[in-house]
Amino acid sequence: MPDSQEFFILNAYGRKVSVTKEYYDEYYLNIDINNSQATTTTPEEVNLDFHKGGNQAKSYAAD
Amino acid sequence: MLIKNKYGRIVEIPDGMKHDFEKVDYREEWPFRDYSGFSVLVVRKAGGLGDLVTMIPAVESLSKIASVSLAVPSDFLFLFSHLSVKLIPYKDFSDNSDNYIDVHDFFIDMFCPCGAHEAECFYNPIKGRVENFSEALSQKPFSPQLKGFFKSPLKNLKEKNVLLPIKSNNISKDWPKRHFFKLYFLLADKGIGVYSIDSYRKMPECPYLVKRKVNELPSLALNFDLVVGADSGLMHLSAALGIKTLWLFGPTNGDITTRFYKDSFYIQAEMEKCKSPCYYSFIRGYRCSNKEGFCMDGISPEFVAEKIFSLLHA
Repeated sequence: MPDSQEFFILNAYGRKVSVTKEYYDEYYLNIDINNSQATTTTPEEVNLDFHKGGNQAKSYAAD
Repeated sequence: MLIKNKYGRIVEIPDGMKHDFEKVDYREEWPFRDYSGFSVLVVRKAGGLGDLVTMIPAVESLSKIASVSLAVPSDFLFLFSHLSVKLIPYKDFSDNSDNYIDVHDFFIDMFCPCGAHEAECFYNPIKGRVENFSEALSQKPFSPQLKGFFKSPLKNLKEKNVLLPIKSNNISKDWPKRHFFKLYFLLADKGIGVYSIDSYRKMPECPYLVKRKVNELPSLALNFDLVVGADSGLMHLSAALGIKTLWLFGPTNGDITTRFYKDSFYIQAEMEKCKSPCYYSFIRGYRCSNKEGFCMDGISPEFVAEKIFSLLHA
């Protein structure tokens, strides 16, 4: 394997980007994508919860 | 897995998430320094509208004790115009010698709490969200509040009006366009006025606001009784304006994101298999294996419409 081999990953935006071998080993190869199970998920398995936000809300006026 | 972090809070770490507990990051120190009476340069290099909105309470807290110069992209300076800070358009940052780092006592890079970074520091409330900077400074959390904006009235509004910002900045956070389309018909059938704001992904028949400058958005958003959308900048802006908001969360955590906004409600789509909220699948290399995110796909328009009716008539 030549030293100049490039390593690519898909970043958060789905774009193919070139990374160093260290990064590739650290963040990509160690991740077992096939075992994530997410690839077999269907929308029917989504649980929906409705909540009220603002659990720590405090306005400037209250200060 | 539940752990007690160094700030004494019990936080949950998704199984499988990599975490170096011993790693010390310079960012952990900056909230705890005493900046009283010093000159501080705050810079925000990246991030969208929502990230900038969350900076407001942190900058205000800091401005009460220190002389603050704030450098952010020029489009977003209007968010901080009500604060007593020196505003520097980010593009001028290196052009003007008065703005150089050297003339300030401290330099704070309010780093990006975007999804990828938030995933890295999900376990750490100070690093995780920039709002927590104000909490650390003042010992209590603040709601981001935008002041000094007045309604710019729109024509042909109905009695109840809903704004649907369609697009977020990440495809995994987006609610599918077909769901927005169906929601539009569900609401329009009930006589509710519906506006979209994204001109280039506009829905047929649904009125939309032509894409405008960012600083015009607050005056337009004030026309609406409710803003409904995925985790995006306009949702943060609307919530900071005090407008009632209904957020749709999948990959991100609704409880964390909305906890400083008083009149906010959210629907969290949870998936056991994905360990959601996944924060863009940190454990899968910052990407969703499904790309578009089935969690967001699973939020049905009927469920959202039902919540909208109850919120509009509350």
